[in-house]
Amino acid sequence: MRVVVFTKKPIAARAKFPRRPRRGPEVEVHPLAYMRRVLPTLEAGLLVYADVSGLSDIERARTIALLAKTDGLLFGLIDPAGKVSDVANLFHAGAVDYIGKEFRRTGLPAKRLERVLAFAGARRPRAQPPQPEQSPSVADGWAGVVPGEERPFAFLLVEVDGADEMKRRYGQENLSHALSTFRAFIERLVAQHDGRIWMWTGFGGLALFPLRAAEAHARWEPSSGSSPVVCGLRIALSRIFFDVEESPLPSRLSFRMALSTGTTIYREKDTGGIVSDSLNSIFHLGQKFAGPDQFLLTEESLDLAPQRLRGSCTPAGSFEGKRILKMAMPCYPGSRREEECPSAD
Amino acid sequence: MKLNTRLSSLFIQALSQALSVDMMTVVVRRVIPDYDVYERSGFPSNIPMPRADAARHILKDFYKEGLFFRLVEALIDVHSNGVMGREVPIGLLPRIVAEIQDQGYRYAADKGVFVENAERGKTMGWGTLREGRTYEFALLRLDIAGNSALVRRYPPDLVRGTFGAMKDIATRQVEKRDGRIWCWEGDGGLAAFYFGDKTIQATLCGIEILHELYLFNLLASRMPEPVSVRLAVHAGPCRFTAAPRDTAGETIRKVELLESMYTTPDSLTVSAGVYTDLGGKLSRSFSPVGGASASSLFRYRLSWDRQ
Repeated sequence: MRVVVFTKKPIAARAKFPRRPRRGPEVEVHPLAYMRRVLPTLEAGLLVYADVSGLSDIERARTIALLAKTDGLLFGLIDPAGKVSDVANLFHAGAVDYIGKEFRRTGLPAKRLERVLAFAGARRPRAQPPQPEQSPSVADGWAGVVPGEERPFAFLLVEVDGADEMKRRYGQENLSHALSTFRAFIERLVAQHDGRIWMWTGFGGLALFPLRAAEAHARWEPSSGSSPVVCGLRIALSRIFFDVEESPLPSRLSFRMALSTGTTIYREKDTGGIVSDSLNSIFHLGQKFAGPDQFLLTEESLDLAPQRLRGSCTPAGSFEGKRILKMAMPCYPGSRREEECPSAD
Repeated sequence: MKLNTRLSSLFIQALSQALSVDMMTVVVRRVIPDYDVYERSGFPSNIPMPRADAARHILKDFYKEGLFFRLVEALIDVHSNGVMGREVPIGLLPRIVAEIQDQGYRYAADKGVFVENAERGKTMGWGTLREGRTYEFALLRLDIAGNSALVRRYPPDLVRGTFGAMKDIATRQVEKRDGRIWCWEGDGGLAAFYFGDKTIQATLCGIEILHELYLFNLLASRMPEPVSVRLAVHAGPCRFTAAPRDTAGETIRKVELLESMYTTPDSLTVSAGVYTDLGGKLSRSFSPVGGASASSLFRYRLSWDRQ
């Protein structure tokens, strides 16, 4: 059995709980200050304790609130000083255990933890609401995409900035070579995240990432490793390698990205005749609202980002009735947004 | 490398068909300057030696001394560039090269040497560097910043797993660019680059390690706090030994000094010589380190635009 304890005094706590005990639970201790960052990385169903000794009333309330709003984890409080005045309130907030003064004497005995887990199990609703059955065509990624059928996708639009200026500066022949290299670069990175370039019009294109029906509004799971949001970030981080190793142009290539989720009929060819709100919307977002070197996301598509990445997005207004977020981009000397970067140290 | 019968007979055939014994001597003396096939074989010098016999003796001697690759490399040069303005085509040479490639080596045209094919095995010297000889390398030094504090602060399993993942990231990036990890000591290591634009490759590798580490901290790390590294690149001559961890020398000392003294966490420092090799597009991403003692050093740091 594994239990995670957050405490202000991790060194003392580690001395109390051996890493690999012969009997009893395996206790992993982390500093309380890192609780906000660690919680999203823990697997669902894990029992987590916060040791609130030494915390002010406000800090204690914040700690309890943070635990209460974290989905999927079971939590309890260790309060050796007996500072929590209304323990029942704690259980109303979703806690499954409270250890008071006896903690100093007993620690975390295995029998207690078994009782806690049994209690937590009993508190869960016994009957899960029936889940809609997923059709195989929706659950199997690209293997399940059937041409002619409408289904959910994440749409990633990538478009080179300043097309007219580039045509004037480099000439058609040089430019078409550079753009085909750019397409190959995007295609390679998109494929690493289970995506495919679907449409390409010289200066940019649209990549599709098939979503499972439930995934359109579900959390991204780190183990899948195929988030379209991470794909966008990886493209942004890789542009220096594209410019230095692949691009034949003497200057750096600037491009913008936009990501949204929605549905469309999928066809391999003759995509020009497809009528889809989602398609119109992503093209409008990328071409009319996004600025040079920006990566914009609709609020819904942020669900596909890992928890730790969500903090890198800030509101960027609304567009066609959707809230839009802007992803922080790596600073890149010579880019059109260089003035937004901190000066070199 | 094993010299099989097919390769031996191909080599003897190629040499005896394309070159006279005198010309063979001219070619092999590019590798062993005082080589004399008559003297080595004991064949009377006043009788012309049959070409096939000369080729067989040359092959035996060079293979025994571990210089077979050098000899084929010399033949490739002769085949491509001629000798003293004369063209010397060696008809069977492509088949010899193909046979060597089948045994797990490839010809690196930029250096004019055979190196091991990385997909079939990797050695510290790319299967071509000779122990005790001095070569020009670009060296990349990596160190996990604040590793002692991490070891004190977190359970050993967590630290071991994280440092192991760091090593995997570094190894993947180094080998992707045809470099070799020469040594790794738990919290950092030294990688060498020898082929192609080695300074650019070492620098891009350092940058990519920083980027991959950012993604690792974001997506995969179980550490409650981000792990940071310090990276430095310097190029210069270095004596190659089979146990590179024991290698010492000015170039290694310099890259270690750059990393430990002038590099801040999550950044890459390059020496002035490396910086001048980078070219306009890449060097723009670097800024001067600053300070009197580090005025000729340049730094890359992954930073983010203001929200």
